[in-house]
Amino acid sequence: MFKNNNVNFDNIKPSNQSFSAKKIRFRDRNDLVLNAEKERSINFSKKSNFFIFLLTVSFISFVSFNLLKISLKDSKSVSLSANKIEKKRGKILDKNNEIVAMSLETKDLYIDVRKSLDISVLKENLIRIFDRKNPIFFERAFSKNQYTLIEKNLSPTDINKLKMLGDPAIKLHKSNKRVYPQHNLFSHVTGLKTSNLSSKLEKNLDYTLSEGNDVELTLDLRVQDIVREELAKSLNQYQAKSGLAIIMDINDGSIISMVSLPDFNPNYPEEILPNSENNLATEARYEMGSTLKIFNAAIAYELNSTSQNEKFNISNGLQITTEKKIEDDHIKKDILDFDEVFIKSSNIGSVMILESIGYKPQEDFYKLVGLKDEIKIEGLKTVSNKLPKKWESHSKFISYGYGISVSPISLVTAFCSLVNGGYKIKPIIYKSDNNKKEKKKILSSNTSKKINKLIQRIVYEGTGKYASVDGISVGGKTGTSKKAEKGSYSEKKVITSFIGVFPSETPKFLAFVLFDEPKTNINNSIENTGGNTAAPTFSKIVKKISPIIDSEKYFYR
Amino acid sequence: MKFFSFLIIFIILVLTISIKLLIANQETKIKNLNSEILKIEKNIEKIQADISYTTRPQELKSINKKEFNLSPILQSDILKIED
Repeated sequence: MFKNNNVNFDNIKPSNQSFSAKKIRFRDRNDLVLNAEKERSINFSKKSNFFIFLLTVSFISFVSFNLLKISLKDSKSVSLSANKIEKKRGKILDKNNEIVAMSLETKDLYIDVRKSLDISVLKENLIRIFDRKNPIFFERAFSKNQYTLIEKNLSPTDINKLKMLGDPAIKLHKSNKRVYPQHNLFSHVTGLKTSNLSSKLEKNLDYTLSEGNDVELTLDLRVQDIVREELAKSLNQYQAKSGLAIIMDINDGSIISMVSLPDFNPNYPEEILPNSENNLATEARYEMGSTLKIFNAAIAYELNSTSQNEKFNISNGLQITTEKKIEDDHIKKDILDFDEVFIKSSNIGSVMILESIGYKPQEDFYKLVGLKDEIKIEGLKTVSNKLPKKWESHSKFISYGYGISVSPISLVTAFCSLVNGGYKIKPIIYKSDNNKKEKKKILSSNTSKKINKLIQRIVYEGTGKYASVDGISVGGKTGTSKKAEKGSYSEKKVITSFIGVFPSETPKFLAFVLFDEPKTNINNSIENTGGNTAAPTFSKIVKKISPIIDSEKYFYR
Repeated sequence: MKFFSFLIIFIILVLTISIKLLIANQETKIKNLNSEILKIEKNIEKIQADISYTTRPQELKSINKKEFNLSPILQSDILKIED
């Protein structure tokens, strides 16, 4: 009815009739003005209450939001703090959680020459404490008159000595050092990690380790030590240039031991010699010689070849090319049956079996067992096998182990398929979800059984007799090959090897031993062969490790 | 009504500050605990490294040679259950 700015005052008369009065008083008979004011007041109250309500809601929302934010931020900061603890470089452990590599917090020594109380006294003291360092180094460090690194990874004794000097120029900075408590034992597997150098597992699994995750190897410290000790003894005894050994579980492909000599101590990178850097088990390849003959037997078994029933006359040698004639001077018999070809390791017999089978099945078989592919082991560097350009022209040589160079790990993996029931396996060096144990049936169980019987006979009747072990049945194949030098084969330098399984009735483990250029042998006989060098070493190793790794069926552990 | 609103605001304000202080206190405690854990972990690792060095096979062999002269168990020393 009334608007604030347009009130109709028709009904309002001045109360005082006198127009001389200074103030005119009006009287609102119907309280219209009062009502209008009340109305305005109510409206204002409504609006202000609504505003306060909005303010309260906003404030509560703001506080609630902040509370939520604080609580979220809090949980995040806690998890970050927790991560901070975990983010230390992970350890490398053996299969029984023994430490192979770990990081320790150490201190580095720096000197700030400008802050020294007495430079000449400090210099003398440092020369005395670090007497293994050349004094000229300190002369140079002090002449620079600046902040200089003196020594990394101080020992606790050195830290105490430095603190006793009490010179403000001495600055100790926190640092991390990778230590390898087992020294040389795992050097070719772990490699090493320094501030500017890394190799092998330390390099290839750097991301996993730097995220603070431990790496658990499939290697067993106890076995590794025995294998290295026996291999080193034999290497010394036979005066060989280098040697290697691999122990593998034939059913799941896990490598229990891998030793390559010469090796190095990863704690002292500056002392590593160039010839000790490579892991010969994965980074070298050899013409294996007679150890490859066993693949011929497997082809014959798998194809059910008639050669199994044939007799082989080896008395007159065999002309395999126009220039090359081979003879088996080491065999006294003239006529050999199928098994005897392998038991006595006849080159001629092996070529004759191949001629009966044909080169194509041989090539296909080598492809099937993986000898034509590059074998991969997660975490380790491997080399591919060197294959002939034309298989057909080399197949006869390949039948007795020449014309094809294979890496030891490749041979071992392929051999596993022959003895484990015919399954192709993937070698693994550390436990991981990515390293799932792959198994694929590629050969018949019957072939595998026959191979196991044959290699057992090779040890008990043939060239591998020095590989036998008291208390456990073993089977295996010897190998001797002449080294290729300047386009021809050396008459003196040989590669000797033995590949075998134990226990041979139901094989579980495989062991491979190889020596490069042995100069003597166990009998001091003229010829160095796999039978008188690698086979006895195999025996010594298996004698000691079988109670450890094959312990489940015995009374103790 | 206004008084009630202001009271709520005041209570929430007090609560927020209390919670924040509580969180700050807990964070400090966690930091202290973490640094304690780190210190203990470092000590454990040093001890583990010591143990690994002192129990490595070469060390054990030299102790055995000096003190006990025990021979390793060979395969031939073991009788199988079926035997």
